[in-house]
Amino acid sequence: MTIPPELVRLWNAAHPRLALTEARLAELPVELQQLRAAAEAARGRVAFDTEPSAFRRLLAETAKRS
Amino acid sequence: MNWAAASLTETADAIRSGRVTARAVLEEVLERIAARDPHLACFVALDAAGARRAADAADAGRAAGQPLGPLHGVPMAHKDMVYRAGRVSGCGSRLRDGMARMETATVLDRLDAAGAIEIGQLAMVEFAMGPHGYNANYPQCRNAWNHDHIPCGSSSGSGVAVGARLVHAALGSDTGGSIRCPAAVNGVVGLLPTYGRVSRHGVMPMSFSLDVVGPLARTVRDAARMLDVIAGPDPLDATSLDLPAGGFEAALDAPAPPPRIGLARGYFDEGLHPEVAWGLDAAAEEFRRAGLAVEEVRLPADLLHEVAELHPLVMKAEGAANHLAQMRAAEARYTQEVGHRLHAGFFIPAVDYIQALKLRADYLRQMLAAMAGVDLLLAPVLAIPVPTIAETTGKRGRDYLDMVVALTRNTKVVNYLGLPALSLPAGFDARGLPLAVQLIGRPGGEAVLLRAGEAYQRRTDWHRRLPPGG
Repeated sequence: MTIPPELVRLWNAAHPRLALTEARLAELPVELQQLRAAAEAARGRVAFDTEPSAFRRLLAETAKRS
Repeated sequence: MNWAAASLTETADAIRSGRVTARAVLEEVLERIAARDPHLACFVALDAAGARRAADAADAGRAAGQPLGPLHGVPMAHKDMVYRAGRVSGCGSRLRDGMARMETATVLDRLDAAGAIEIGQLAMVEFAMGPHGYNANYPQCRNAWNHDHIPCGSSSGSGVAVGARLVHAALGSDTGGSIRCPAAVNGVVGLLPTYGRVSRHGVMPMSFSLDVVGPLARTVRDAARMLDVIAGPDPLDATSLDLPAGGFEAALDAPAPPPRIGLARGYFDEGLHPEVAWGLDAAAEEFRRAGLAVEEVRLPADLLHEVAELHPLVMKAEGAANHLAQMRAAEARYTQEVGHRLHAGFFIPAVDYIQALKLRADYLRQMLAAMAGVDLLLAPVLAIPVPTIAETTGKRGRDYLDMVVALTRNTKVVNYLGLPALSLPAGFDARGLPLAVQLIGRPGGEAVLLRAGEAYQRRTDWHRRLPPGG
């Protein structure tokens, strides 16, 4: 499913409320589609029992051994 | 001796020993800036009078027998997003005009304490949001080796000023390649420390999960000395790692087993331009001749492709969070390009952003497993030769995104993983533009990176070549 410009228009009106031109509204879905595809591709790898701070803990533990 | 063209460590050691005064070095540097910066546009502010006062004070301090720091009397300038109390840091934006800061960055406090003399502020991409290195708010900053080519960014002025020998070293920041790419295309060394190794307090945030501050310098030894000064825990930066400070320059001369290098195969070697591939192979051969073991290492390419796609998701969501209020109030004061770069971040669902952060530990674990048999990886910085300004301007939509990917694909994955990396000059292409490779280390592995880089620079002279007009 692709992201239609109308969705961007509605979301913009509801939340960020930026002054987006029609040309920009038409352009943005290309980029948003890429970002959404990236999130979807990785979705299956996301573990329930983890949190973002696990990254810093691993980084620090590894760094202390270096 | 041409002190403006000497390395940072040579110059600092000469000032310390009294072979030259800080004032004499500064006058050479100012003369060079006056001659070259009108063509390069890498300075956005220059405080010659303040620098002369500081140089005279440095010379007086030495004459009085005061303790001298490791950078005593050395002129440098930094990316214009490193704050100093009472001074405006433009961050490449007109939105910051007239807004003096209340705080001084920890890295500047540390450089001041080491005796460095800050002579000015350097050009950057608006709010550090772009890899090509130019900014419509300012005169076109140009590549030190060929004015028709990009300086890369976002630490464009830092790369050009060090490459053109206008300053001995400069700080940059790197969220997706913004230290390593300008270093690469301007023929200098760029060091991306481990995420959290160097305090970001008082440095403009672009994407707080990815931002790293580090030095651009003429030699690996220069970068090591800079890191000795700026690295270390900082209670003012919550991401600061509790790792011992200092010892990087000393480690260059200490006996240690030679680092084992993995020539990165998978992802980093995809779509390499033939001249870039040649430069990479030649660098691998030089490392072997220097006595370092080099073997091919197969990396998980699929994983790295996922990382490359997740990086902008994190960067754009965090950038949008920083800029929302300002964008609503004054989007017309952003350049169109950076305004457009920020737009997508406002439409990223929180779930996608948080999941991209949750995945980082697992990806890092897998990457470390892939690096298990070696100490560091060898890969190109850019997969393509340095583009011209014309080749990177006027793009929109998918063409613009493709240009960004072409410049950042080999660097941004390292930021997502939080790893340290060292960009090294590695020759020149057929047009005379610099080629570069990067060494990628384990977390906390800066000393190993620097030792390998120093071994390479003992065998090569790419870092000593001067750009046209040099």
